[in-house]
Amino acid sequence: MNDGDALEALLAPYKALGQTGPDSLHALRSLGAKGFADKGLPGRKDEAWKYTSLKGLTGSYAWKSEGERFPGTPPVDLLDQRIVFYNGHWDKTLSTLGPGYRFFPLKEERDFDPLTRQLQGEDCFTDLALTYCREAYRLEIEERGERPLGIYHFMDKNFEGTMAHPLLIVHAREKSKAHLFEFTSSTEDLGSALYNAHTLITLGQGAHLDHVRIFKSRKGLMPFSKVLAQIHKEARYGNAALALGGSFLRNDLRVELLGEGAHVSLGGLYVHDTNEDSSHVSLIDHKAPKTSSRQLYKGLLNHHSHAFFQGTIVVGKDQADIESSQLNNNILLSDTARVDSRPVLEIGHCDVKCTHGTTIGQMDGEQLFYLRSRGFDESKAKRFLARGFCEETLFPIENESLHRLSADYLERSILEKIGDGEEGP
Amino acid sequence: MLSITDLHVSPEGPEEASILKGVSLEVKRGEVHALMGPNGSGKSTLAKAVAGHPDYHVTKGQIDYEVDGKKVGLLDWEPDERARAGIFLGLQYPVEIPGVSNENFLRTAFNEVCKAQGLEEMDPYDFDQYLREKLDLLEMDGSFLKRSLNEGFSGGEKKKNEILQMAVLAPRLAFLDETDSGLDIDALKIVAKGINSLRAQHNAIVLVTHYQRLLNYITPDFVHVISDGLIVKTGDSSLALELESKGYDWVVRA
Repeated sequence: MNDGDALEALLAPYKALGQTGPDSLHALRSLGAKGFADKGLPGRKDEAWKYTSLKGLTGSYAWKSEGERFPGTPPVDLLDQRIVFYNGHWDKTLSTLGPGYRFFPLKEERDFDPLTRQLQGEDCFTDLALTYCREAYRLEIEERGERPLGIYHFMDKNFEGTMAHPLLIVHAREKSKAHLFEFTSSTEDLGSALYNAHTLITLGQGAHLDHVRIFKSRKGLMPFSKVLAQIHKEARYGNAALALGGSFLRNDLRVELLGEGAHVSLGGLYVHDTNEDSSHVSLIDHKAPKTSSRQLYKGLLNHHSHAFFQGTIVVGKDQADIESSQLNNNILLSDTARVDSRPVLEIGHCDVKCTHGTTIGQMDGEQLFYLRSRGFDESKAKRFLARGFCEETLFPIENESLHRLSADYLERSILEKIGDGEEGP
Repeated sequence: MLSITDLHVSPEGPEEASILKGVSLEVKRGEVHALMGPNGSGKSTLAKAVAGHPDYHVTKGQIDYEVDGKKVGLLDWEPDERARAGIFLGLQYPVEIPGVSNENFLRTAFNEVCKAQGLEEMDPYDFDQYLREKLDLLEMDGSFLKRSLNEGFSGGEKKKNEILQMAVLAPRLAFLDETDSGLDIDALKIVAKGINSLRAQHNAIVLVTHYQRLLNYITPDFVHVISDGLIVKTGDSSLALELESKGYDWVVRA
């Protein structure tokens, strides 16, 4: 299927739909469809997409406007507080929320207007999400909580040949605090399926949000995940995205720091084995003076696998006293693993401390010898080093239980990918 | 317990010039040996070759090690097999390993050695007690255990941490490579006290050192002088004092 055919096929379910829902929703969808048709799928000349292979995107996906209940057993233990999506739709029966949160699907006319403003001008996959905007939900964080809240996206064989475009709006009130554990997973190999998830985050003044996103899918699923975050004065956002398995992942983040004292920390990790591939594209826009950001992306690539990182830092010409750092470290465990890394800095003011760096290498021979000289066999020594290397990417997560939970998932993946099935570090 | 015969070692590959050019050394149970010599003489190379460092290639000679009453050739053994058989190398420059806690590292290493030697793994509570005793011996703070292995440690802390590992693993044969370098006098005394307390009839220690000062606190049974890849003189502890006053030139030129 060529790009033009894929485009047509991706819009076909929308065209068959006709007008449903409130007028503003309809307007939003039309706008999305038009934007998508105008932009088309990204080509090789688009630097941000050059290393993301879209060849698995078949174009013919069914779209279901109504959800079903999850028939199986969740593939992982669920947190007490959680929101569960099954094949792109909210599964109300599996979801349960504690005090301090409000969660609801968007229905009202007025809900959709702000979305149009926030999402215009993004890439074609955002347009596609707007085209199919029925699966839109809003999470309100109203208090300061310490217990992590799980957001699960489960897909199973019923998702075969379909697409979903869930859109989640997270609004953290002034001085609120929350810790999100988001987990995206397909439980079975699929022929082809598209999961195009968007999360819009607004942190009010002084709010604090820790957000872990773990991706662990099976063959055939193409998850696209985009986070668009707006961070107001004195608010702090920490996001750690861990790509722990799957033949495809596109992980996009765009963060706007809008008030003095706003801070964002982004951690990113890709641990890949044969035929796994992921792309991690971040953009941090310092739109106010005295804002800061820190990014650490790391990769551990085994056998025939690939990853792409692009990190952009933008500092406007009126924004003084900015601190921003970006680092991308990669370990290639085999000759056939490949990584493409691309830092982009657009700095418009001279009162800026901005650093960036990329390393690509192998596991350190002296570190390996050190562990082996203490009795660790080679594979155990490698696992210890891998775990130590990878765990640093959880640095944005301050909440201890969320950190520990994420580290457990990380450790299990390392065992699967470079271990020999023995007990881990 | 250890017998090294006509050992030739070269870095990288056989085509490189040898650093060790025919070293023979016999170490028996209960003994402490000091291996001294000028910079670049091959002291550290010998220690690393015994531990099995992959960058040091034995091109000639052999290393025999007595384990459980049997004599085995070590050259085919991987470094971790040697460690599990009771060989320990205290590194001159201990490596930093971010993200791996000292405690987790010590417990895993200890259990690996126990398993290999047919002993039961210690349960976490007992291991904690065991570890505290070793920390006290080296006047180390418990906070060391929570930190990443050697990361951000001062030179002295790293060396103490090496001796802590030795104390925990209780090796049969320990090579301590320049453990005294980078230590101030107080730290040197503590480290020496630690090493002395680990000295026993069932094990052996080889101190690799450039200076005599460590030997003020640990009295070796034998002192060997290594120069240009060969052991050129062997004596008792008085040899170290003689070297201190006369310098290495005295032995090397003789």
